[in-house]
Amino acid sequence: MNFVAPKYFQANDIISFLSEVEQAFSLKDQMQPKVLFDLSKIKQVNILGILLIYKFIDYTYNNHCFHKPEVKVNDYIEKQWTKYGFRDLIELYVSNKDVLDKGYKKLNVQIHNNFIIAPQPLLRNDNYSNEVLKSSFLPKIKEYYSFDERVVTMIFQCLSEVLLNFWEHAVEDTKSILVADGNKQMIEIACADTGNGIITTLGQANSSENYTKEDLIYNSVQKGITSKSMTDHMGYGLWILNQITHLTKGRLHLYSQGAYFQNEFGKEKIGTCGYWQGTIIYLSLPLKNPKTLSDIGVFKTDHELKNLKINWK
Amino acid sequence: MKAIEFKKYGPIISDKKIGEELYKLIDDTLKNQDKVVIDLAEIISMATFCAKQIFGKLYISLTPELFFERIEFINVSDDIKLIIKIGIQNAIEETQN
Repeated sequence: MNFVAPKYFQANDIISFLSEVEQAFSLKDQMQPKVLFDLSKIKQVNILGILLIYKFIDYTYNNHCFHKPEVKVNDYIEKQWTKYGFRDLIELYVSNKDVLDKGYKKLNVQIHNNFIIAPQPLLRNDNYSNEVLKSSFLPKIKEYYSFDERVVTMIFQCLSEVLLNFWEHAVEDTKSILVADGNKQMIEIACADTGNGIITTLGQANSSENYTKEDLIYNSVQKGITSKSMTDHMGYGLWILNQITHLTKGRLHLYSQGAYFQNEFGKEKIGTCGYWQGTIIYLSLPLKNPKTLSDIGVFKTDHELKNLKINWK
Repeated sequence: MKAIEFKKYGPIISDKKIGEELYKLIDDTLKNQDKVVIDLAEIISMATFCAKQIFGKLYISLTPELFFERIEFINVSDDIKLIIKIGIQNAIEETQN
C-alpha cells in the first residue's frame, strides 16, 4: 500500500492529499504491512502541508494502522521539517523513541526574515501550551509586527478564536497542533487535529435536521451556529474568521470528515473530499490592509449593541 | 473599590479555564466591594466565548443597572469593547429564548 504526497503541496493541493490518505483512517488497529509513505516527490510544501504530513504520521502511529511502514523522503522535505520545527518530532516516530509531548518542549519561535511558530500542541489539561504561547510566542509576534498595531490586533483576534475552538472541541488524546508562518506581507495559521470533527459535533447537535456534510461545514462558518448551544459557546469563532478573510481578501479553508469549505479571496466554495478524521483549519491573510472585529459591517449597525449600558472610562 | 488587572492573563484571553477564573475573581470581589474596576491594559484580544463567559454572565446575574454601577472598565481598546458587547448581547439573547 502506497501513500504518495503531491509534488506541489500547498493549500490548493490539500484535497488531492486527502483523497490519497483517507484510507488510512479506516485502518485503526489493522497493523497493515508493507506500507510506503512517499514524500520524495515533493518539490514545494507550505506550513499546512508539513502539518498534515506530521498529523498523518502521528495518527497512523498512535492508532496502529501500519506495521513498520517506510517513509521515503528527499532533501527538500527534510529541510522543510527543520525549517518549520518538525524534524525532531518526526524523528521520534521514525526511531520509535518516546513520543510523549516532551518532544515539543525544545521548540521555539524562529525569527529571521519571517517568523514561524513551531508546532504547538493544544492540550486542555496542560498549562504548558497556554503558558508558552502567551509568554513566548505572542510577545514575539507582537514585536515582529510592531510597525502596525492593527496587524497585531487582527492576528491576535484570529488566534484567540482558533485557539478557543480547538481547545474546546478537540478530544484530549488527539493533540491539536497549531503552526504559523508569517512575514511582513502575510500570515498563515494552520491548526489540525484527529479528534471529533466539525461534521460529527455539529451533526449531533442538529440530529433532527437532515443536513448533508456540505450543509454542516457551511453552517459552521455561519453566525450563531454552535455544537454547544445553551453554553457560553456562541458560534461566532469560525464566522469571525470568515468575515475577516472576506474583508482582507484572504483565504480560509476548513476540512473535516469528507467535507470542505474554502473562502478563496472572497469566493466561497463547499464540497466533498477525502476523509480526514477531525478538523483542519487553514487561514492565510494579507497584511496590507488589516481588518479587525470593528470593521465587520453587521457590528457597525447593530443598535442593540450600541444601547448596552456599560461603564467605560 | 478594587481594581482587577487582566494583563497577567494576556495578551489574549482565549481559554475557558482562565475565563472561569476571571469570572470567579470578579464575582468574589463584588461580594466584598461596592465597585470593581476592570483594567484591560495590554489585553489585545479576547475570544468571544470568554467575553460571554465572564461579562455576559455578570451582566445577567447583576442586572444591567448594577452591572453599570458596580463594574467600571478602564484601558479598553475599541475592539475589546466590541467583543465584550457581543458576549453580553449573546447572553441576553439566550435568556430571552
